Amino acid sequence: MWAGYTESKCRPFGIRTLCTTSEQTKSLGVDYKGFTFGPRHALPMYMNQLFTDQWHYHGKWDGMSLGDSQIWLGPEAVDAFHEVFGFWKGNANVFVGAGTQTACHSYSRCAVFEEIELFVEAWIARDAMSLLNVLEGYRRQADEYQAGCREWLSSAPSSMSNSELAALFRRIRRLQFSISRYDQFGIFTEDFFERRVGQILLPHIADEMEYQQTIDALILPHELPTMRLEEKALLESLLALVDSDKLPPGAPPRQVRLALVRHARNTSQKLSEQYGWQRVFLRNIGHTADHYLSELTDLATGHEDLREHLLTRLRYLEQLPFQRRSDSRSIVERLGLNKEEQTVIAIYRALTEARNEASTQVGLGSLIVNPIVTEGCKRLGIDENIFHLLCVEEFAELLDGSRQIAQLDIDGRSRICGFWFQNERTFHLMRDDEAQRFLESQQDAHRATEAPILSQPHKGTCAAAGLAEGIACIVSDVDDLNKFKEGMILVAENTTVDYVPVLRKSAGIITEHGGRTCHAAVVAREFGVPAIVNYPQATHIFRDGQTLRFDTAEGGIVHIISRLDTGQQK
Amino acid sequence: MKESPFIFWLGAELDQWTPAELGGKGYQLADLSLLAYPIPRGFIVTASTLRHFWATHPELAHIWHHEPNTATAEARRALQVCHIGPEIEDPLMGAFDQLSVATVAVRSSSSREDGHTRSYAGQFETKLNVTGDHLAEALKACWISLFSDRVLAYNLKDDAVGDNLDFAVVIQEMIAPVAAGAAFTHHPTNRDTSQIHIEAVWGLGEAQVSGCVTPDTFVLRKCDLEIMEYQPAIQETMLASSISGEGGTAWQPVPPHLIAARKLTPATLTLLASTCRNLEAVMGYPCDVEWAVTEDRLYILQCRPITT
Repeated sequence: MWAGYTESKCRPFGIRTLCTTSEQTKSLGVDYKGFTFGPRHALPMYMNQLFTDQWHYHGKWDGMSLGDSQIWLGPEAVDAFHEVFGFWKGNANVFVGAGTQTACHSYSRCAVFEEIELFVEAWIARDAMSLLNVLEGYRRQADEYQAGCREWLSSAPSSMSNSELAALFRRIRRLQFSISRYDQFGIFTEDFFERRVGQILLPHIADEMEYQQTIDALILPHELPTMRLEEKALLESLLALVDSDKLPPGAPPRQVRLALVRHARNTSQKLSEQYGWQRVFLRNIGHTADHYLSELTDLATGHEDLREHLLTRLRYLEQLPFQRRSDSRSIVERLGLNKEEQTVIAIYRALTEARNEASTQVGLGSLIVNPIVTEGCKRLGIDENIFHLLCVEEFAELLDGSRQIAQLDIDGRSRICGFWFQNERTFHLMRDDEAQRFLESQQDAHRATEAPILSQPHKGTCAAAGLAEGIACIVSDVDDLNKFKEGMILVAENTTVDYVPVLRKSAGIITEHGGRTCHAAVVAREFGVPAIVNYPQATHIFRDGQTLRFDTAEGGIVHIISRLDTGQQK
Repeated sequence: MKESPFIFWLGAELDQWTPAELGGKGYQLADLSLLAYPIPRGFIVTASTLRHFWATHPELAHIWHHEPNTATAEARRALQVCHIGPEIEDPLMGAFDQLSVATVAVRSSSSREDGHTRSYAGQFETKLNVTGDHLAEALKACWISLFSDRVLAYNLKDDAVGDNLDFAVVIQEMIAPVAAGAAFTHHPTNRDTSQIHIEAVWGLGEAQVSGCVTPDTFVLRKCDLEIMEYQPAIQETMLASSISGEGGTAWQPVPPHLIAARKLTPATLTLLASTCRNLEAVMGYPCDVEWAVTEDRLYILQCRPITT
């Protein structure tokens, strides 16, 4: 939560390792045809932008792993999963970056994307009413969900029959599916607008802390004060942990659990205040202790002086006002934001509020579901961890007796810890031992793509076929054209119309940039001059006076057949 | 607004209009517009306009008596100093106002360009992101380019510039593309007619045409538009409309998250390729298509026969 909070807002976006090969791109493309984004093949350009932004934002996908039903996805996603894996599961998470805990959901209900599309369309059309309508649709579902939760919170699982329990479980899950759409919706749209807010604010604000404070002041959802309190409690516990010198690696320390208990208490207090709901105490709302522990470990590796970092953050939190601030007006005026920029911020604000509420409500589902799960598992005589390997329908069917646990390959499922895309449609399931090898190979691939471009083999793209041999003439600008003599090979970064008279007389053409339809390529074909384009660093690799030879039949390779440098001999 | 022989609106019926009057590019765009292909809105300043200008400036009339080299220099100098005059400027600015956009793209449309060789294209002036204040100037810059040395050099290959004034100028709303580039309806080097070859860059397509930037390359199978080949390219700078009020274009850094990103989605690629396939069928020859995509639309900027 807190590590993710600071990191995700300030993380630089430039990650160049993504989409470097066509295979990778295929597996990351928008339409996983029937899987990731549902059976929608015609997503318009901006939608793709939205998603590529997402993938870039989250970095390289290093591996994927089955998640633990913390976030519930819709029936279509469940069906798609079943189709691919042959068994039912609630969701899957994508883990990005080796050893990091940033996860994004690998699939969502189609409806989510339809709604995002509507939303973005409305945004492009500057149609404020439609934007509000989309959010309004959410509001109605939230009301229904909230009413349901009020009713269910008073139910007592232990006094229900198995079939009543199964029915209640199904009903809650169904509503959670529909409400989680807005959580997903919020994640995507919020990011979409967060970028734009960043673009607006960054030119005005250089300091990270000031940026954070400005964002907070402009967009302060209801939940934030409580989140701060929770974060503060967690930080204090972690500081105590650091001071006690019992930092991981190792078993989850008790202090972290303590923080979670406080975290839960604060949440329930907030809920009781905000929604008038009954106060409850429960473990593991939202994230597990392991989750926080890994975040802590991440942080410890990222910051040599963890204690100092924790203290800085704590001091920062302490000086924040713990109530909604209303000085966004003065910030807007101070920064001199125009109407459109203000609109972006207003929408972003509405989205963060909607999304925070949605995720709170999904999380709230745990308040109701967890007692049912505990009770159900007790009655079925299974470990609660096994619940996470079951889909909604399976658990309900086990409860009402229409299915037996022995019919399910629980052991096999528990050993599956990941999968990867083989191509757009098929997946490979990984067992635990295989996963380790997969991650290692991914890390190797990651290192390989980080290598500087210069280490690529020197070659270009054939743009006009033929065999060429001649003395190199390096042309850096139009003035250099004077030194060109008929029969030379022209080497240039790119060509313009001014080069045409020279191109006509050249034995061959080599350019650093461009594709098969650029000016140099087209003119070369027209004049019947062999040409290679996109030969990186060509004007630096070859020198005036060298005799070059290339045959496009060999691919884009150029041979230096004489290194005679007349300039030096004189 | 009254009809002017100097303005032809894209989308109007071609009737008696000829390629000589609208220029090769302009006539083609008018045709594409009638066929409902997605081209940017705009109009053509007809060849009659230049002829009229010529006729009303007696000092230009004697130019053809000079040697070709001197004649072109003379013509350029004379054009430089002459004002285009209200008879031309009024309908021009009227049409610009009617278009009701902030900036336009101004492209030369010679009757000899396109239709023949692509290398000829680019010999004439193109002005992008032109504001109303600079429109008359941009029009004249196009005219002047008819008399440039490089056009002359190029024409030594066939005939001299002569007194051919079939030269129109296309003026269209300025598109701010996310990505743009060229598409060939057969493979440019191996001429495989079963393939569509697409190159895409971020920003304006001029960066791709000039070869300043190495594009993403997609090769699609024409029958089912399946992607056969995808060569990604890293692009760090892109050409875009300048944000200054003066218009023009400027090189800008590509946003970091897009530098290595794929420039066309499968869906956009399919739309573009199917449009090109369709163009080839309608035109009846292999097409060299310049295109651009904005956040939500595909535009066809030009379509000409592949000449090589």
